[in-house]
Amino acid sequence: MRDYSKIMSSCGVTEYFVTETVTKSAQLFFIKKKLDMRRFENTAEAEIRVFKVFEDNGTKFKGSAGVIVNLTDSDEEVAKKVRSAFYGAGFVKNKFYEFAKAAQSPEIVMESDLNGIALSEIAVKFSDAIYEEDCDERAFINSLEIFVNEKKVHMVSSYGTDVSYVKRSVEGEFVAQCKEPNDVETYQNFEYDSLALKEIKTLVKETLSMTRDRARAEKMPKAGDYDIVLSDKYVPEIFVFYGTRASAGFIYPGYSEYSVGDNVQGEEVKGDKLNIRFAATAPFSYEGIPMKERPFIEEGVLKTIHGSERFSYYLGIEQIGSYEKLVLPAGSMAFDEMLNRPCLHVVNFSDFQMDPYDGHFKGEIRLAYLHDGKGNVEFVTGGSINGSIFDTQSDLKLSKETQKLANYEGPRAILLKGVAVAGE
Amino acid sequence: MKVKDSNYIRENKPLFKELVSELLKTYEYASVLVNDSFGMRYSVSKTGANVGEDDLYTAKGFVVKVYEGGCYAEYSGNEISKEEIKRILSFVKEELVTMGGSREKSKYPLPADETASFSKSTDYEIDPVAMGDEAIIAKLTEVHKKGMAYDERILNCGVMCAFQKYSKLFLSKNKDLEQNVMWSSGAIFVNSKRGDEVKEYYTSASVLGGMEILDTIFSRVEDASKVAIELLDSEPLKPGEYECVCDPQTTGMIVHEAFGHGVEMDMFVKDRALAKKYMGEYVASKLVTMHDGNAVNQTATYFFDDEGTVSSDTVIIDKGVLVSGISDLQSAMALGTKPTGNGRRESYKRKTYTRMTNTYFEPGTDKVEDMIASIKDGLLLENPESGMEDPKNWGIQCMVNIGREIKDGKLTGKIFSPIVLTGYVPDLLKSISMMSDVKELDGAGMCGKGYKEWVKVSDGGPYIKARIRLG
Repeated sequence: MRDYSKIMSSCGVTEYFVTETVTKSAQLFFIKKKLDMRRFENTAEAEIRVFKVFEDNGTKFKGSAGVIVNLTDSDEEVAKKVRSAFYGAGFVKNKFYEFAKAAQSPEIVMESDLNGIALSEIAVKFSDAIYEEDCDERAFINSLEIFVNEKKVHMVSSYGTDVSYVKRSVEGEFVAQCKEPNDVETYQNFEYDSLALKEIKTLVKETLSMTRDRARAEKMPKAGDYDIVLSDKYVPEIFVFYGTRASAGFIYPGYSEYSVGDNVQGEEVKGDKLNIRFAATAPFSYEGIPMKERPFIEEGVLKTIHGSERFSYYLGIEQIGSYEKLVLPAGSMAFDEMLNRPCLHVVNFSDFQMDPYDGHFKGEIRLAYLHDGKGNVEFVTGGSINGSIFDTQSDLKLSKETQKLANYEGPRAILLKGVAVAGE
Repeated sequence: MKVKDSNYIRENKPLFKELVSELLKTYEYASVLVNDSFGMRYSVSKTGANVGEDDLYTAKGFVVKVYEGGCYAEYSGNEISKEEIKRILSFVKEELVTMGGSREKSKYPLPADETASFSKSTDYEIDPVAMGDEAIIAKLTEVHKKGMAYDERILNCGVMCAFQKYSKLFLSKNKDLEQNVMWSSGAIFVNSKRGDEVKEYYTSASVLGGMEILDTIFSRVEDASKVAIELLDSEPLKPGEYECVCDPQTTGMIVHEAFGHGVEMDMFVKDRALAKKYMGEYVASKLVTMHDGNAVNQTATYFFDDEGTVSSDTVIIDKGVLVSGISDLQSAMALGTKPTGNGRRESYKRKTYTRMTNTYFEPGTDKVEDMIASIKDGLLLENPESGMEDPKNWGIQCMVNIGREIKDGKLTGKIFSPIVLTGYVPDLLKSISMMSDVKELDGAGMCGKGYKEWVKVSDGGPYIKARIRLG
C-alpha cells in the first residue's frame, strides 16, 4: 500500500480515511445458447476522504471531501487531488463528530467455496449449470450475463484503522422467454457468495415455469382491494422500509421518528410480529467498522438503530455501521395456507419498489395468480398494486417456508391484506 | 469556452497507439477506448453538506477490444506502460480469448472501421473548477435556506449539483478520435411531513456546459417548496382510466421508459423487442415524431460513442410511424443495419450496450391552457419518479408523484399521490390527441439497463394529452 501518511503530511492533512480496492472480474455474456462476449476487468483504485476541523462563529465543524485515484497514479498526482479536496473540505460545515473506534485486523479472506478456483472457471461452472436447465423448446434462456468478482479491500485511516478483506461473489441476470401462446419474457437477477450451482438451477427452473405461465396469462385483474401475497425476491423489498426508517441518516433529519423500544408495527398487532436481525455482508463497513450479527426488531419492538458514524454520533448512539442484510425466522403460516384463501399472488413485477418516505409499495404486475379460495387459480397480467405499509403492517403474515438471498434470509412469502389494485 | 483535453490521454497516447498496433499483429480487428473523466457532486441540506468526486463520474482507464474466432473479447484496465503492454498482450492471447471454454460462440463480421480522425470539444460558460468549491457550496446553501424559510412545515430542503468533464480517445487501425465534453446538473428535494408519511417533491435541471445551471436551480426553489406543502393534502387516487395532460418531464419518462428502451436494437438481436415487428407501422398518433441523438445540446450529447461510431440524430417515430431503432456497432453488424452511434458504457470497466442519449417528442401546436380546458374529468400528471422498461411486451410501468384533478376544464386544486401509470404503450401513444407548442428536456438523471449499467441521458418533449390507466 502507498504511504498515504507522507502525502497527507505534505498537504497539511491530519485526518483522512483511505479505501483501496483491487478488482478482478471475469464476465461472460450469452445470447440464446451462444457465447456472445468475453470480458475481464483488472483495476485498482483508491477512494480518499480528507477531513478538516474548524470553527466558525464559535461553532466547531468537521468538513470532508473525497477523491478517487488509480493506484498507479504518482504520489504527486495524488497529492494534487488531496490538496484540492482539503481546500473544499473547509467549506463543508458539518457539525463536529468523532470517528468510530478504529479497528485493526490482518487480511480476512471471506470463507467461500468460490475461493481457489479461477474466476473464469467459476463463470463456466455457473453457465453450465444454468444451461443444464434450459431444455424446453417452449420456454428457454433468451440471454444471460455472469460476473464473477474478486475484490480486495484495504482501509487505513489517520486515526488507526488498518483492516482488509478479500471477498468473492457471483452476480448476473438472465431473461427467460416463452413464445407460445403469447411471446413473453421474465427478467431475473441473482447474486451469491458461494458456488451456488444447485440454487441457480432451481432459480432457472422456477423462472422458466413462471414464464410459461405468463405466456398463458391474458386477463388483467379487476380493479379493487385484494389480499396480496408476495414471494421470493419481493419479500425483502417490504423490509427495506424498516431498515431505512431505523437508520441514523433517516432519523436525524426527522424523516423517521423511530427510537429504540418503539412498536414499529403499531400498538395492536393482529398478524405476525416482526423478528429481524442485522447480518454482515463483509467483515467491515465502508467506514472500517467491524460488522457482526445484531438484533434489529424483536416481537415488533425496535432494538437497534444503525447508520454512518457521523449521524450515529449526532444521535448519541453506538457507531455500529450501516447494515443491508436482514435475517428473519420462519413465519406462522404455511405458504400453501396463504394461497388457499382468496388472494392475488404476484410473482413477477416489471419493477417493485418500497418508498421508505411515504411507506407506499407499488409495481406493475407482469404475472399474478388469482386464487379464489376454492382451489381455482387464474393467471392474470397487467394492472398494478399500490399499497401502504402503514395500513398493512399490523396484520401481515409470514410464511413458514424460508429462502436465502444475498441480503436476506427469512420467510419466502408475505401476506398483506386490503391492498389497492388497478386493473380492468 | 471549449472544454480542454486530458493530460493523461495526451501523455499516454503513444503507448495506446503501440498497444493497438501490437494487437493488430495477431487480431484482424483491435481497438482501444481511453477514458479520463472527472466529476464532482455537491449537496447541502439540513443535515450538512457533502463534497466529493463521484465514482460514477470519475474514472481513468481503458478498454481493449479484439476480434477473435468470429466474435469479440474485451479487457478493461487502468495501468499502462511499456511493460504493461507486454502483459496485456499475453493476457489477451492466453486467458481472455480462451474464456468460456468450448461453448459455441456468436459469429459477427469485422467492423467497417472507416477512416476518421478528429478532436472536438463542447462549450461551457462557467467552469466549475474555476468557480471553486466555496462559491458552489455558498450558492447551494442560499437555495437551501430559501427553501427552509418558505414554510415551517418544510422538513428539509436538499439541494445538489454535479458536473462531469470527460475526455475520450478512440483508436483502431483507421480511427483516431478525441472528444472533450462537460455537462452539469442540479436538483432540489423538498420534504414535508404528515404524521408518519414524509412527502417529497423533486425538481431538476441540466445543461451541456458548466455551473451556469445554478441560476436555473435557484429560480425553482419557491415553486418546489410550495408543491411540497401542497402534497401534504394529497389523497390516494381511485384506480381507473383517465384523460390526462402530462407535463414535459412525465412525457419524457413515457418517451424514455415506455418506448425508448424498446427501440434499443441490442434487444432486436436478442429477440427481446416487440418494436422489431412493427417497423413501418403506426405505433402512435400522427402527432408524434420522436428523436434520439445529438440534435440537441443536453447531458448525453457527444461526438462519437464508446465504439468509435460518430453520433447522429435518429428519427425513431415519424408522424406516428415507427421508422428506425437505435443501435451500437455490434448489434448493427448482427442485424445488417447502420450503427447510429448509440453504443455506450457505464465506464471503461463495463460492456457496451445500445443506449439512448437525448430522447424526445417534437412539440405540437397546442397551448397548455387549451389542453387542460379540453378535459371534463381527468388529471394533470407531474413530477415523474421512476419507470421500468418492458420492450418485449410494451407494458408501461411509470410512477409519478402528482396528479392534479381537472374538472370541467379547470384545475380544482385537489392533488392525488403517488400514482402508477400502467397499460399498453401503443394504446397510450395512439391516444395522444394534443401536444403543446414548446418542448423541454431534462438530463439530471441516469438511466439503467434493467437494474445496472448507469449512463447519463436526457429526455422530454411537450405537454401531451392522452388516455392513461392509473393506479
